[in-house]
Amino acid sequence: MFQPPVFTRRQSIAAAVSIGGTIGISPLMRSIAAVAAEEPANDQRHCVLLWMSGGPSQIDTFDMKPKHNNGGAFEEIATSVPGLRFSEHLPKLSGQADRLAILRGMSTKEGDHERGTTVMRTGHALGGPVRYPAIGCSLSKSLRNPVSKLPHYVTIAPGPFARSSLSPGFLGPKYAATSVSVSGPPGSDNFAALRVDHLQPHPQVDAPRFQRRLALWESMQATFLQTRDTPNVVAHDTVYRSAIDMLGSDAKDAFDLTGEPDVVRQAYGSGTFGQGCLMARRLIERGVPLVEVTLGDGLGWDTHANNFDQVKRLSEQLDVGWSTLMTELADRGLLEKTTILWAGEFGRTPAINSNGGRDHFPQAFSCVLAGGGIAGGQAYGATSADGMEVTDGKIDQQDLLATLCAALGVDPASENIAEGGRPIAISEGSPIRQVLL
Amino acid sequence: MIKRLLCVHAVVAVVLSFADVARCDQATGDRFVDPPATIDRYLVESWRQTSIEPSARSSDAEFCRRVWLDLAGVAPPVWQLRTFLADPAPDKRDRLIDSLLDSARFANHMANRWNTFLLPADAAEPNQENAAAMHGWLRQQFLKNTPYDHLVGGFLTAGGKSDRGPAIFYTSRNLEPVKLAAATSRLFLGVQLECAQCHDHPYARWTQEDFWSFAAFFAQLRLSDSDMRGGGQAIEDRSGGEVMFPESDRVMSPRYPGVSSPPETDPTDFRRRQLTIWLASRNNPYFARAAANRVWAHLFGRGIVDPVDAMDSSHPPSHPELLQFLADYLVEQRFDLRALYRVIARSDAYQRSSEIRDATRPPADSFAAMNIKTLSASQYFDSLRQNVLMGTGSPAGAQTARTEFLRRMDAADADPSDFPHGVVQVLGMMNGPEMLAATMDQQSGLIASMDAPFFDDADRIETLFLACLSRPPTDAEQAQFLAYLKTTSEQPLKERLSDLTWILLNTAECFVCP
Repeated sequence: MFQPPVFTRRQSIAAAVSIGGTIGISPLMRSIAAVAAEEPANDQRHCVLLWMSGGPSQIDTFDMKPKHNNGGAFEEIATSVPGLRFSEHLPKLSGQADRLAILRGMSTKEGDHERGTTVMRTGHALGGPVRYPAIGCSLSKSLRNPVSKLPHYVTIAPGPFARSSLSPGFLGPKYAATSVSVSGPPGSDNFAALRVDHLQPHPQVDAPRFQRRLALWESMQATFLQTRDTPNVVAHDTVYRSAIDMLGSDAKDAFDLTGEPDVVRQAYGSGTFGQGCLMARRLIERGVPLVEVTLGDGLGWDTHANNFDQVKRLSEQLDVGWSTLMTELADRGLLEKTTILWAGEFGRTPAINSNGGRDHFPQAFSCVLAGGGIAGGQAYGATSADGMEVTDGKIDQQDLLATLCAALGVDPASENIAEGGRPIAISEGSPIRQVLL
Repeated sequence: MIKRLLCVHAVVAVVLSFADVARCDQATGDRFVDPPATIDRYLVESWRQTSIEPSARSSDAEFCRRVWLDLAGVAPPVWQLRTFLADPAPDKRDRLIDSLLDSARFANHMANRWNTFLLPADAAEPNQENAAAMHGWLRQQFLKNTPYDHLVGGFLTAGGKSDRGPAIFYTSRNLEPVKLAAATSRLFLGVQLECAQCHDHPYARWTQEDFWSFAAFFAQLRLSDSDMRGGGQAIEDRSGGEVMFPESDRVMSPRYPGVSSPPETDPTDFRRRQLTIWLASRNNPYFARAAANRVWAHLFGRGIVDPVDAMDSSHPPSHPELLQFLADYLVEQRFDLRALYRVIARSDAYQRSSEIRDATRPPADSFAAMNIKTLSASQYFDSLRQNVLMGTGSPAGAQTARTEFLRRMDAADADPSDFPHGVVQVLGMMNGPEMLAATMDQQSGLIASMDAPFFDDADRIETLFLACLSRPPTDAEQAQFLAYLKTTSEQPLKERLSDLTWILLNTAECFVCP
């Protein structure tokens, strides 16, 4: 049985240092310490965006109101952090609450799916004169790994909805996310099948044939470049060579989950989200700076009716996928270099409607930060007893994104140049110091 | 204090610009006798001063690919290219330019380009019907060769029931005066007035006053009630709406940027008409210059002022006299855009090669060698459809494939001197569905056509080159490709042709206008 250790690497090493000399250290701790000592200096940071499509219910997850009529059907449970309580359907995450900072004072102005998605993903309202890039594009540009053959930003199962909010905007298509999609029904092993678009040559083109094509292609490119070495022609050649490098390298194995033991695949959950979290771990191990995993294909969290059954089911997927990802990253010493943001386009109404559902609610909802750079084990901000308004620590999407940047060591004020030469900061908000390490 | 200085500055600058225009009017008539030669004279003089050696004249094939892609928006069809290459007449380039400018393809391509300029980059997808209506409207104007000042005037004052097309320009910006002022000044004046939205422009002469009184021209737009039901969008001007200076209760009255006197009153207080009277007139020193600079940038891959929408003091023109000449010519031709395209395309400068052998490439802003322009996604796809897919499959299917390709390759604001794509797009190019269709003998009309009994391998290779790269192969290429067809003979011929097609379609040469 797969048994997740319960401490972070940082804690393990601290423990090893403080107690190792006197009472000896366990074999597990010794091996982790050894790995840490041998690790080459590598300051590559990573970001995982866990996107909850449809707008997750804060009251049924991270901001429970058990004493109020609005509280709903779920019980709250204690977590590893005294005083911090989550939904009963998040037991594994409760065990890792020391890694999570719950932001309970989120508030935006957009209660429509497309507009809300755009605001949360880009920091800006839809329809302005500037095409703001998705935060994943800006961050992957700042965090990009110059030696990696893999893409800088991979989005897993993004679903068909509000695709323009994933757009690199004025940064240009170079910074677009590589999309991993669900390639059909689960295989015979019952795990969700995930596939990168256009990663494989056409089926009738086998490897030797592809190599023959490339050989003659290279010669054509070289001849043309000899007399026409303008920047756009050189860039075409460079980008093609990176793509060909990736196709020919082991790096693309990162996308192949069949090499993972079944027990590990099972630990993440067999659905799209769980397998996506496993792929995220494999990509981060190989140096990819930014991975986004979507839960709720289409608008799964849009629980206007029958809220509790749906949120229970989604919470179970969320709980195993996310908690196993943190555990496995921590085992590899990568959690402290990886900042995780959990968010959707808005929250849901505290009041329960006549269909047993909850409706769109951007006024007061929760997001969660975890991992590298984040002071876990706390809730920042609070909502009123009925959940209707933020009473403390009110923040908007700009503050949230600025905090994410700061946790990753990226200055939120760093500027990119928009159309027409206008410099635009990644985020104009103020980082929340209390949740940063 | 600083603001006042800037205002004074603005007035002086406008007076100077008027002086320029006046001087042109006095110029002798022979100034416009041979405009292509005049264009070349200005350029040759600048190269002499900077000791730049221009490139050679382009080959017929290079010229043909270039002028088709620039004016028709697609690579030349193979048979047209063959006819052109075989034509011995010395005036064949002039005739090709003229016939393309008169073709419906030119109107279509211009409408494509202007649709991209006029719509906010995200607007086309959710508003396909309205974007199509505007495309149709623009196409009509370019077909009729409506003078550019009339076109812009008609465009800016449109929006009623009869001409819904242009309304999307306004509705896609939510009728907001600030956004409309910014877009209008960029597009038609070539200046970024919106930088003065919050503070006086640091590099240009624009003040906050200029911006907000310009925005006041768009203060009275309303969606027309009567048309809300029909699903279409119509807009009208209604008195009452005003723009306030930021953080004040000062109502801004409409004023032309850089002009101190207020506009003449309009009998029905139709502010957009008031704006148009000045904007699209020869008294506006920015309008013709901005238009001429855009035409130049279209054909040469960069403007004489670059970027084309930032014609301020921090972006001086590379060839100021040339730009003034082109603007004056456009005014003299009563804003006939086709006439301007014609004379530029006939110049030696436009017909120079982009190839540089054994020498350093002249700077891009010297225009001493043709700049290589990256194709837009639609230029690439439309050329592929015309020359390789060749109408196999259903038209609806082809349209879906086109939409999907454009979505994947979207780079609306990309500069043609840049290659805007990354690994994601390139994987799609190599392994995507269009490439599959183009290289499978069941779907690729080009590969299917190779069955003709009178074709030998050399003919096949030549046809592939003409279809994909708009030129015949060199001897070395011919030998390499023939060798490819022969040495892998355990594969069927069609598979080998499929490989060669894939190779050519993925070269940098296939993705640029030479």
